[in-house]
Amino acid sequence: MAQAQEVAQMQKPRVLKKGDTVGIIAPSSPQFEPGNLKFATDWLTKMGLHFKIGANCTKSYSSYAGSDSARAEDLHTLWSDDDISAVLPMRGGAGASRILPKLDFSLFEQKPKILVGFSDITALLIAINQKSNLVTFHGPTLGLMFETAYTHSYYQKAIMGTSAIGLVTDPPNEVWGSEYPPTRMVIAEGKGRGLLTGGCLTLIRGLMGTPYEIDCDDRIVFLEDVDEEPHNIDRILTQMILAGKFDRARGIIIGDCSGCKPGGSKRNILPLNSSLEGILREHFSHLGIPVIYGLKLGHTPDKVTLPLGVMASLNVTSSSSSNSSSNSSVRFKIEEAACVDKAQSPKK
Amino acid sequence: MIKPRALRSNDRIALIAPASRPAKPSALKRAEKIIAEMGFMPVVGAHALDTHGAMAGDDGARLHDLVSALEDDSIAAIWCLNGGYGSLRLLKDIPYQTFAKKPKIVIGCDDNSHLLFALNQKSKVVTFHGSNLDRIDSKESFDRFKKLLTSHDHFPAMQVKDRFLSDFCYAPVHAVGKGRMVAGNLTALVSLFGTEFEPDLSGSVLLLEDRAERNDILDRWFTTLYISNKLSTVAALGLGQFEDCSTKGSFNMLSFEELVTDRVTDMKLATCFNLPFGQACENAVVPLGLQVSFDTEKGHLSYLESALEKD
Repeated sequence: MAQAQEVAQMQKPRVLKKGDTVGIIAPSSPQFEPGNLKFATDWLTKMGLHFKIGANCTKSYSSYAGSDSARAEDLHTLWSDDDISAVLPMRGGAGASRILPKLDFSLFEQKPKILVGFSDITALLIAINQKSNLVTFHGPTLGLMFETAYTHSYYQKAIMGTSAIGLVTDPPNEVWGSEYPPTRMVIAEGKGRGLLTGGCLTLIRGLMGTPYEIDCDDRIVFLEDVDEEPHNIDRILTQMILAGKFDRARGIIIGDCSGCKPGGSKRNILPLNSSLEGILREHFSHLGIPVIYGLKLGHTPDKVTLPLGVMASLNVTSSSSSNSSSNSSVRFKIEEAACVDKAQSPKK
Repeated sequence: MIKPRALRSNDRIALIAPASRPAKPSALKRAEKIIAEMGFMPVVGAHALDTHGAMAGDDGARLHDLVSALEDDSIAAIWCLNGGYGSLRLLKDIPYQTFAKKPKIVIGCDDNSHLLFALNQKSKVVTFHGSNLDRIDSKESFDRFKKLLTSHDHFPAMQVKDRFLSDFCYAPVHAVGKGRMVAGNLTALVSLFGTEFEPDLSGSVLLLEDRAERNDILDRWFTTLYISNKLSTVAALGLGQFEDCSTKGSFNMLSFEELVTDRVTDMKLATCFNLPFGQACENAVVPLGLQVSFDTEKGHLSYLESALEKD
């Protein structure tokens, strides 16, 4: 029995420390503005980190940073490099899913390293988390990790610390103006505890029916997207429901989903479209698990870094009204550290 | 595979909107008139003009119109009024057993592709990918549709044609593939992945189309098909009409042809482009579930069996 548990044990990468070297890759799209690479590397230097840049980082094959083989090779090369502690995609875009069949998942399992990204990088985060049994990080890509103080502080907590991130707090309130949705809109009350998984819905949909399909069983699932029509989000959620993806989930966290309103995609616009909030309430009000909407975790400048594969809990307890955004009623806690001081030796 | 019977004069045909609602009342009146002119009796779904979000009524209303048409012995065929979004939401509540016992022609496209795939997969009944009624706007197509649906002869072969060069066909991999026809909307096909309604692609001749989508998004869904390892089980692949699909608004400059070609070439999967398969009425009506033979070099697809039973 103990052995079975050991096999199921998620591997954690070694924590990133000052003086370490990170590898920069572009598994999806190339950097659109060449100068942004310098912005990012200056920040790395400021953080006391060294870096190596993948050979294809600035190459371009249409909207992909080089051919599928070239992008996969960069990932393999930098991941194999023993000097490198973290592999950081410069940006998302499109194309990460295309390289999945070319990846050597045993390499990621044998040499646990930090991988951080979101949006298109979701494909790598879920695939490597599940196939290589390794904690991966849904957080800013390298080019965005210094976008706000909130974003950067969670980024550092997640990959440069060995204690649990703990309770997730909101970005500091602006004095004026109210944002919709609030960060903690309650869709359903309840308590749930499980390993974290999730990412960008468009990418999650793209993995359905493939060997990399998301496993939501016994997990707290976070989902987000950007500039998608509500009916497109409904299509993805309906597909996931038909596939039984939420039957054994322990909680659902929907991100801010900026631009996911009728007309937001500037394509596929339907008349009389439904609101995303309405769709979420329809699908997720009665699952018997806690569900919240609005957390800053994806395509917003503020974003918390969420490690896939670590234990977290979501407690949504009753407050005066189900529409309340009162922070006191929602507790989202990452209970377990995502990085370790010394990487475990891989179990055979 | 169960085949519905061919239509006869005065058959009752249900006109329903399982996805979005008709754009305007005249679209509905026009559809009724088309069916009547073909010599059939139009029976409009009770909720065809309901509104609920982007859909023609809530799930219950749309399901009611679909299920009553499936269960009603006096209805000989179901023809979808238009596409949009919403048919995916009905799949879990459709009486597939009933449909297998009472097969009838179901025809439509666009979002209704979800229905055609699911009814074919779960009930093993031949379903028909053809224009929704709002897309029928030529006399030639009208006559052709009527002739096809009232006969139990083999459907005519499909042939890629260029308006100027006539026999021009772009086929990155030349071969003849034989298998069971699976045909429909790429977005809809991928929406069924991982669910019990997902079409069985192994040994199939797969035809895909889409409309009003960016090439880079189409590439996402084609990538899903590719990384699922199911494409390698397909006997031949035909890409139909990708109406209003382009690179506009995308960073990706590649055509959908190029995005598909690199992988089918690696896989040596018999493939050709520009089949007359799509949502506009000049395209072929394509029955799902039939055995076909597809020569990609010639852009020629022929049916090895008839689609409809004799009376």
